[in-house]
Amino acid sequence: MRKLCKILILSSIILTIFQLISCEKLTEDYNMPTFKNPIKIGVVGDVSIGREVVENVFFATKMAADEINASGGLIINGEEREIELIFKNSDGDPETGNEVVSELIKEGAKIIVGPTTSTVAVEMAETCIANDILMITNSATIPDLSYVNDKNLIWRTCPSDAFSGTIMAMYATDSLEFESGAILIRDDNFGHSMAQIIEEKFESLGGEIVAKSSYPTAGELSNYNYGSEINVLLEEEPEIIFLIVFEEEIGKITQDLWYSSLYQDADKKPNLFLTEGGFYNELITNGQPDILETIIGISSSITNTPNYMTYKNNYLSKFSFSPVTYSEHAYDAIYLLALATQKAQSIDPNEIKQNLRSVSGCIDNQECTHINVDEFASARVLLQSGFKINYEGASGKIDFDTNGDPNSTFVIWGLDDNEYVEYSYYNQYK
Amino acid sequence: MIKRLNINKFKLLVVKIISLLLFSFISFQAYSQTSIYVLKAVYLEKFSRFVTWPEECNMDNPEKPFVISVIGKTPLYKNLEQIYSMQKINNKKVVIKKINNIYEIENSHILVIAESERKNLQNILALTEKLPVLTVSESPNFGKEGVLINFFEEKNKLKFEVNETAVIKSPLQMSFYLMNSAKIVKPVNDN
Repeated sequence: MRKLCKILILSSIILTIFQLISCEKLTEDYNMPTFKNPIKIGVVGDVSIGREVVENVFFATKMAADEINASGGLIINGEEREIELIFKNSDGDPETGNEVVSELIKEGAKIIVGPTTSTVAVEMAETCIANDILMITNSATIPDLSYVNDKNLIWRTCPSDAFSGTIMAMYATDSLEFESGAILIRDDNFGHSMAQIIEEKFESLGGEIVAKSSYPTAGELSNYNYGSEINVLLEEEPEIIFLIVFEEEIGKITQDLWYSSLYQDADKKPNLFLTEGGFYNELITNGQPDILETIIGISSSITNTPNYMTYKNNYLSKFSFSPVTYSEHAYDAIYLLALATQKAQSIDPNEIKQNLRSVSGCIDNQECTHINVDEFASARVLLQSGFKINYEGASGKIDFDTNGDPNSTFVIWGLDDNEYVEYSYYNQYK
Repeated sequence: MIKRLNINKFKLLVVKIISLLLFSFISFQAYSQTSIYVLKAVYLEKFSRFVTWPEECNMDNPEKPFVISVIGKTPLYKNLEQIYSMQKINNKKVVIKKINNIYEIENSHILVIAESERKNLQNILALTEKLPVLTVSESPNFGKEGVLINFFEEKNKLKFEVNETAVIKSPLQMSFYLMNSAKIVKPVNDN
C-alpha cells in the first residue's frame, strides 16, 4: 500500500511537471505571430541534406514575407491579406516530400516554395500536379522538371542544369582550351543528369571525358573518404575535373584530393570546376588552401547588381549573417507568388499561375515598370492602377520561359587570395 | 592558373543591362493622366537607390525617417502619401511633408517642386543648391534652370532629365547607373 502511495505521489509530481511544461508551450503558441487573412505558403527544404544552407534559404523566404506584410500585404478584392509561411522538412527523401505536400494541403496551403533537391522535387512535382498545388522550386535544377506535363503548376527560379552544364563545358573548351576532362558525380538524379549534359557538350566541342566516378549520397558526406573515387579520375590525368557535388562535401573532397599521391605526383595539377551551389564558405573554412586557386565555379547569382546588393544588405542587417546561393532564388519565389496573386486578385493556384509570367517579364514586348527588391508597396499600387510590372529580383531577371524556367545570367567565378572573384558572364539564351 | 577573360567588356555589358533593368521607360498612352502621378511617385524611390546622401542626413539610421517634401500644388502629393504610407526608402519610414515656407526644406531628403512654384524657382534653388536635398520637378525647363531631376514626357513615355552641372555642385552623389538612364541637361563639359 505504501509502495502504491509512493507511485501515486511520484506520478502526480511528473504530471504536474508535464502540465507546467505544457502551459509554457501554450504560452509560446499564444505569442506566435498572427496573420491578417493569411495566404498560406509551404516552404519545403531538405534540412537533412544540409541544415545550414537550407535554414539560410528559409530565412530568405521569411525576409520576403516580412517585407511584403510590412508593406501592407496584399489587397485581394478589397480585403487586406498577409503571407503566412509554413516550414517543412522533406528530409532529402521523395516519399517524405509527398507526405509533406499532404500535410500542407491539410493545413490549408495550396502553394509551395521548394524543395531543395532535384530527387525530391521530381516526385513532389507529380503530387502537386495531381492536387492542383502550385510549386516553385528555388534550387532543384534537374532538366526533367522543364518538361513535366505540369498544367503550368511547376515553376522554378533557379536555372536548369541544361544551361549551366552546357556553359561549363563551353567555358572549359572555348575559354580554357582544355581537351580532356573527368567528372566526379554525386550518385543521385541531379548528379547523373548533370554529368550527361556536361559530357555530351564537352565532347561535342572536341573534348574527351576520360574518366567518371560517383560516390554514394547516404551517410555523413562531410566525413566521407573520397580517395578511391578521386584516384579513378586522376589515373587518366585529366586537365579539368568537373565536380557535381553539394556544399557540405566540397571541403573534404579538396582535402582528399590533396592527400592523393597521384595528385601530388602529377606534373600538371588538374583544375576543378564546380557546379552551382553556395561553396564559398565551405571552401574557405574546410577546403585545402593549396588547391583553392585551381577552382572555378558557375553561379546564376550575379552578386554585383544593385538588387543583389540590396538583398544582401537587408539580409545581413536582419539576421547578422550573409545569405547563401539559392537563398535569393527562394526570396524571389515568394515575391513572384505575391505579385502574381495581387495581379490575379485570387488565391486560387490556377489563377495565380496565369499571372506568374506576366509579373516576371514584359510579355510580347509590352512596356512595363520594373519592380526591384523590397518594392512591394509600389508594385501593389502600380498593379491596382492598371500598370504592367516586371519583377527583377535578387537573383537577377526572371522572365519565365514557356517551361516555367527563368532566363538566367551566369557568372564564372574563382578564388583569388581567398576572395570571391567574378571572371566572366553568360546569358543562357545568348 | 585559370585563364581570365577581359572583364571590362563584361562589366560594361552588366552596367548597361542593369541600367536598362532599373529605368526602362514606360508608355502611358493607355493610362489616364492621373495614373502618371503613380509612376512618378514610384520613381522617387528608385532614384533614391542611386543617390548618396552625406553622413549628416542619417541615411544609415533606420529610426530617422526619409523626408519627401512637396512645395506648391501638385496631384503628385496624394500619390506620394498613398505609396509611401507603406513603401520604405532605404529601410526607413517615409514622411511626406507639405512645405509652406521655403525655410522648412532643410531636413528634406527629396524636395518636389511643383509647377505652381515657377515664379519662386530661383529663390528655392538658391537655398537648395548647397543642401543635400534631391530636387525633383515635373515642369518644362525646370531641369535647365537647376532642378537636379526633372520628369518630362516624350513620345508618350515618361522620362527624366538630370542637370549634371547642378549635380556636381550639390553635396549629393549620383550614381552612373542613374545618369546613364537620364537625358543630361547642362552637361559639365559645356560650362
